[in-house]
Amino acid sequence: MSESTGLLLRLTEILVGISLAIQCLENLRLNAALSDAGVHARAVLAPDWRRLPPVLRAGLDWLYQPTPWRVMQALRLLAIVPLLLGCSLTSVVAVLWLSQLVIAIRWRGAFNGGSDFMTLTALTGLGLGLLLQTLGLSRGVEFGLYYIALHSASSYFISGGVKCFHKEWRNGSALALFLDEGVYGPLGDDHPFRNPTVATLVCAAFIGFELSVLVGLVFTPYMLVFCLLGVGFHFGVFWYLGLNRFVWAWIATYPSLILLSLTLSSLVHQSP
Amino acid sequence: MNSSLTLLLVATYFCVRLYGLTRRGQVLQHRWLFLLRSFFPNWQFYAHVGVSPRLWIRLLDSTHPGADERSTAAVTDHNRSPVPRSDWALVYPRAKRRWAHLVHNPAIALALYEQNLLDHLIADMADNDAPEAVAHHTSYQLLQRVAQSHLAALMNPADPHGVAPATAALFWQFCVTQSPTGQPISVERDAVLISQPLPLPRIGHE
Repeated sequence: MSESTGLLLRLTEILVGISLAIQCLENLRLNAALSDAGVHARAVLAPDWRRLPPVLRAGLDWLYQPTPWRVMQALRLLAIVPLLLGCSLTSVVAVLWLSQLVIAIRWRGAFNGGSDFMTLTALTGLGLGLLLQTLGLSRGVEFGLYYIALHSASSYFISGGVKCFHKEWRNGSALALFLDEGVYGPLGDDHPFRNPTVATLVCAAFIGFELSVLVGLVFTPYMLVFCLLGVGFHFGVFWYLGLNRFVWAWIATYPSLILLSLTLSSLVHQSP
Repeated sequence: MNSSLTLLLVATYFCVRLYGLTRRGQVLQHRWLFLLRSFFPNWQFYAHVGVSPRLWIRLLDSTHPGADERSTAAVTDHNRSPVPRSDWALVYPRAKRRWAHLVHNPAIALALYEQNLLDHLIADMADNDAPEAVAHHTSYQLLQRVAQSHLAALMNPADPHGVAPATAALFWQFCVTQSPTGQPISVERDAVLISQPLPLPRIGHE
């Protein structure tokens, strides 16, 4: 493993650790809603699980009882420590990956949508890389980080690309429509985003930013700029829509994006 | 040759993803796949300005003949429909913005999850021929519990939507509307589901 790959792996571990720690501490506060007397009591989920194999259903039913559920959360918090220290093991990542999936199923597949998907992707990439390395593949960690980077780049590319197909994004009207529905909204009557010209420019900037991830993949200096813009972009999404987990889940993938960019940039230079 | 092939593979990957954007996405209908949808992200965030589902609740009057029987069956009789005790109140998450939410925001995350349940219910309704069958779905059951959890605010005179005195109400119901995003909502016009009148649970006030 090269020095730069090792550094980017450490950074990924630490950022994924921070993202998971935030999720874990939030999850602890949600236990009341998941209790038998809570709004999201597990008894209500029975129809969802009816078709699962009996062994799996019994296993999940046991795990979702109050005591095993709390033990699993405590184990997760413990497992995050090596990540935060940048010295994770395959088994530790496996525990986090499996428990992440168990928690997602408890919330009917996903609790916080995209951030759940990206967290699972990051854990899959980290776990896969560490496993391949353990099995003797010297570039295993790189492949794991490439997996994360491809998903992260796809998320921006698809999100930007699909907006191009909708006239509300092309003419800027989508901005106020979505932000008015935000938990901290609606926008004030005199907010700049209500100005059609400003809104069109902002929408164009969003689309341009998201699609430009492809430029960053073959031009590393721009990827560094892209990552800085990305921090601001996700902070804006949090500021208006309250999606704090997205900020941390996506930032955790930036070291992988930089590694993929370094690799592809060098390939572009080598190509005749 | 090796580097050209790698670049070609990456370029092909993004071309396939681009082509995928022009195709209609598949909906995960199978219960198993739905529970494992974390593995199948579509990444299409806030792309389509379509319709927005909303959840509403209201109290029903107990003064109507027959409504003193705390049985849902008694008041579902068409001849003895309960009288609304309150207007429909929107259940929608709104919060005061705080910097601390950047690192700890469980209440809003939960409220947003509960809003997503509306999308799940709409999808379940689209999959069912019989309207009454949807009441057996998990999404319906959960939404009913979410709606019920907001009754305390509706019965609190200090709340902006609260009605007083609320002690006369013995039943309540919830409703789901679907209307174009950004357009004014009329419950009467946009309702896609109205629950049966439900017995009001005991709710204590300090």
